[in-house]
Amino acid sequence: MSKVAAEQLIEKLKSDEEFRNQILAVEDLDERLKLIKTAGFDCRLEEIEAVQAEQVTLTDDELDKVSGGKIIWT
Amino acid sequence: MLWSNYNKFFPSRHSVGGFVYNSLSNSLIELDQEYYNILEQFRSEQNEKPVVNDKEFFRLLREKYVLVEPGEEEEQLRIQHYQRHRLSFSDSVMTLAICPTSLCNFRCPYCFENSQKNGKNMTVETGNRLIEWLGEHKNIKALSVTWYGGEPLLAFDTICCLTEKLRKTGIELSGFGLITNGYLLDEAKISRLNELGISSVQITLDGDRETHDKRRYLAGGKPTFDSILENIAALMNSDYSGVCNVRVNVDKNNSGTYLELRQTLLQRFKGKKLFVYPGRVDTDAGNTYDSANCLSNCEWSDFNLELYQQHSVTADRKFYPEGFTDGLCTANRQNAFVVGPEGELYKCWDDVGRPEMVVGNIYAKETITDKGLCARYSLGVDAYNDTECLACEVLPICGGGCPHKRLLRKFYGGKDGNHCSVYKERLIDYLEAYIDIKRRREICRALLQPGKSDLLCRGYRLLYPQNSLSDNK
Repeated sequence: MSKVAAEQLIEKLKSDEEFRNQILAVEDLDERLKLIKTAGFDCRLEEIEAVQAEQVTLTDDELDKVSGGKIIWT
Repeated sequence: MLWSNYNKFFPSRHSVGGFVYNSLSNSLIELDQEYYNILEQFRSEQNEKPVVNDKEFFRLLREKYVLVEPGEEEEQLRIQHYQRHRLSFSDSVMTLAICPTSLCNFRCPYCFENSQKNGKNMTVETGNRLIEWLGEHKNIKALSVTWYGGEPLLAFDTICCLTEKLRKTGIELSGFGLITNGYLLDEAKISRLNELGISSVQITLDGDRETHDKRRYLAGGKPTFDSILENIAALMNSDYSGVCNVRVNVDKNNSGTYLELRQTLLQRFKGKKLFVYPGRVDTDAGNTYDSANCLSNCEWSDFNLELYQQHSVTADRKFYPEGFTDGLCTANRQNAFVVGPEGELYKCWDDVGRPEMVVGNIYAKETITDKGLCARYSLGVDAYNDTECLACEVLPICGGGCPHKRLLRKFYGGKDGNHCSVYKERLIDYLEAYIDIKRRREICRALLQPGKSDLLCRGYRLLYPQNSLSDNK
């Protein structure tokens, strides 16, 4: 179980439409995770959530406040 | 019906189909293979109209200027030019970067400010005059202030005093920010930040301890890294309610240390309102630092795109273009100035300490004393009056890039540098990074919330502006 596996899963889902459709067709989250494990991706829900959370960094608003000379249009 | 000169049409890297982006509308449309083929056929054969029975699709292509009538692009550019002028000359908002001092306790080799041999502190009299001067601008409805320098914390008392006086003016204060090197940000000052209304503090680090201390040292040569990090820790452990943005100045000498520093800081201050982002070292303003150390536009793009591709770091907001307001800043806006410690006014943060770049003074009978320089900064470097820029397909999303760099190049014999937008050479790379981020987010969401998939299955969809990344956060 690792975040690396979660990353690999996301990459596979991104590029393989057939695999994506197969996984997303399963409505029940526990069943979906079982299918993911069967497909060779040993990752937990929290690890997928961690990958998702990592993508949220500095927002535009926050960056606007620090970028030199930038006007904030309000 | 014509295929717009402002289109970028490219296949998907990871799937079938592709994308069409239009810089006039700053819109991005995702297409499945069928719709991609329709546009490909139209583009290559230049038919009168795409062979498509989908009226909505056709309407979308027209609305986003993917397909245009003769003359329509010129008209749209004119409208954007007009809108930029309206924004530039609006007088309801005043934006000031105030230097309570031009003195600095650091001696960074790449510093662009020319004030250290003759640094000055703002006097009480000049502070009072600044308040009076603001009062003379009757149309101002809101004021935004960034404390800048020199090192503004060398004049912390002036910041406190001026804040109190600014509050009494009755002008709506839309925000205070502080740009500091962080060395003097002790607990006593931290405890006053909330009361001063400072909602963001920007502190600069240049890499790990060894790298930083070689580049950002005190006037006497002593290192600064440990003290700054202690102060950041004190800030993050205090009741300060704003955000701390750590800017890491990056050039060829230290770009390799950025990622590790970022990860160390984010790990150490996990759960705190601390953000880390790279800032590009630039020496256009002229100093003894070797400009060969600086990253070119392409190198800067490589640096940011590789951070994302290899490490999923998405700190550069410029993956997706901002739109036609890009390039509007203090330099080309009527009611925006950098205020020097003696009340002198500049149009760019890079100009502080250069007498020849002073455009006005708060003591002058007429604020603007060098109308020629103001005109050069606004109309003189206006990209919509530049034939080279008018022929460029990214003009609608770059506005000509940095006015300061354009000014140096056009009027002061500056070198042909990085004044153009990074999108000129790498637009598709940036769009692909944006698409990848969006796709990852959608997949994560679809994975974690069954039944909520918004991935494209068939047909086409508007990826931006509708359901933009910021909407999805």
